[in-house]
Amino acid sequence: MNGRLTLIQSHTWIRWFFAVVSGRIWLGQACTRESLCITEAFLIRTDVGFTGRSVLQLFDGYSGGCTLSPGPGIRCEGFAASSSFLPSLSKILVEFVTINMVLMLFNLIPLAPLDGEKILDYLLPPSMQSTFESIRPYGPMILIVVAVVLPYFALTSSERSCALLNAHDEFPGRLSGEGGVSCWTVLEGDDNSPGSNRD
Amino acid sequence: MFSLDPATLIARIIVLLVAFTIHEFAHAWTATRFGMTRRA
Repeated sequence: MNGRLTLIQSHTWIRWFFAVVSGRIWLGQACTRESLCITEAFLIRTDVGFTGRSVLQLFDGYSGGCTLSPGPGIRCEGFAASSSFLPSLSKILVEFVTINMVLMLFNLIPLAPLDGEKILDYLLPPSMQSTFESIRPYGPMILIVVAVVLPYFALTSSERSCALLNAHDEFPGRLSGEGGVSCWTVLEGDDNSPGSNRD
Repeated sequence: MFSLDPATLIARIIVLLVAFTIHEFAHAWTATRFGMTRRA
């Protein structure tokens, strides 16, 4: 690998999907130093009208790790470990968006106890209804397997950071600093495979 | 897995309480709009 992971490259997107579905995006993310916080990066790019300030900055002054560098580009190092016991409002906002996105995707899985099952039930042609009906009782069991097994194949947090950085590489206003994209090797939580390369 | 600092943990508890409440209310609201008037 040449130090670049793209979402389209090989089957990275499948592992990305596994990560989202199994909730690893927010369980494993932890927003530690030098790991890119996906939501945080997104929110700081979201300018509020004509003010030229990001949502997070308007919220409470924002003490996270993303900085707007001069010109296009944002550098993110994640939320620093808070010295306070209580979360800041901007931190709650970041968690709010991230967790709700993950919950939405998770709920759309078409397995029995989840809401995605009702949606698929509505959309399926009548000819397939009986097949779907017959696997319904096994939904919870399949779901447990999905939740336990998929994380094993999912991206590590540092791979997610690299993939996201490189995905944004195609757009004006990259998430990285000057020149190319740099990916750090981050070891955190139970992510024990380095996974990413330094440019 | 849950190697979280207290601030993150508290933030997530607050978020989940709000999110689940609104989610379950949306189910009930939809059912009511579809004509359900008592517990199924």
